[in-house]
Amino acid sequence: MKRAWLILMAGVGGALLAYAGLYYAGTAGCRGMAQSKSPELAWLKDEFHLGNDEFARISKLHESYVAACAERCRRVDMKNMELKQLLASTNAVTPEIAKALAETAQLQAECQKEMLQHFYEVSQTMAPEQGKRYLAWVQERTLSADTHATMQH
Amino acid sequence: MTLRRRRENVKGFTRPGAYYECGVRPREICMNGNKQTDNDAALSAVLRDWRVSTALPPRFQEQVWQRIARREPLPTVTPWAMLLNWIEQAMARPALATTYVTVLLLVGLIGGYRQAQSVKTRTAGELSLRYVQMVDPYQGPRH
Repeated sequence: MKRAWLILMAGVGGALLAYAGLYYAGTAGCRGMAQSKSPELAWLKDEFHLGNDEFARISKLHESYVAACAERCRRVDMKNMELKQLLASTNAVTPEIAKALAETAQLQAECQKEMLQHFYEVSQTMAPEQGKRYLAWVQERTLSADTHATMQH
Repeated sequence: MTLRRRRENVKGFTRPGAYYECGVRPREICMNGNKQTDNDAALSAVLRDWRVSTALPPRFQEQVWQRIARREPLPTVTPWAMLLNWIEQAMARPALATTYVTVLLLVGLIGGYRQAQSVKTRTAGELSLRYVQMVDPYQGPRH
């Protein structure tokens, strides 16, 4: 009976070890990405097979874009607040309200233009095939998506 | 010799220590062939003459079997004991034991691989969404 139990335990132990080993090896990349400084960019590097030089350039572009985007977001917030105050002070579309609406729309258009520009710059930094794939992927999820009905800033 | 006496004699031979009544110890019986032969002859003669004239009570045989059944219940075999026995027999066969270990190893490997793939897919989905939210000011809280 002892031999039978040994074989049973060996089977179960072997299965557990095989499971843990393959799981650990298979998720090593995920853990590496999650523990990196910027997991999103680490994912981009992995997904679009970026080399270290490409990744360094894209990281720089990304940092620059995010900083400028934050500034534009601040300006959009200020313009929205100004528009809200104007709307609260009157019951008609005054020239000030029309001007504020135009400026808000202009800021939003500028945001979209800068975003698109960033996508092109990033795609051009990648290998041609990967750049093309990145552009299609990111445009599908941003400019082409229905998420632009409301701004989330 | 009456039937009663005959029975007593027979009983006397079947009782432990019955040979002592003849003044002979068991060791001596084994070593003394004459006395043993005499006793065997006497016993055989008694057994030959022994006749049972009393009729058996009704359903005697059935009652005997019932009493035996009551005295000696069948050993109960639990499912656990049956399982252990089956495992022992199965693992005693090298081909079956090898197959068992191999199948479990494969199950472990496939399970680990599939679970890792699932985690990878989920992580990639989450990180790609976070990237989109970072670059698109129209999606989700950011900056």
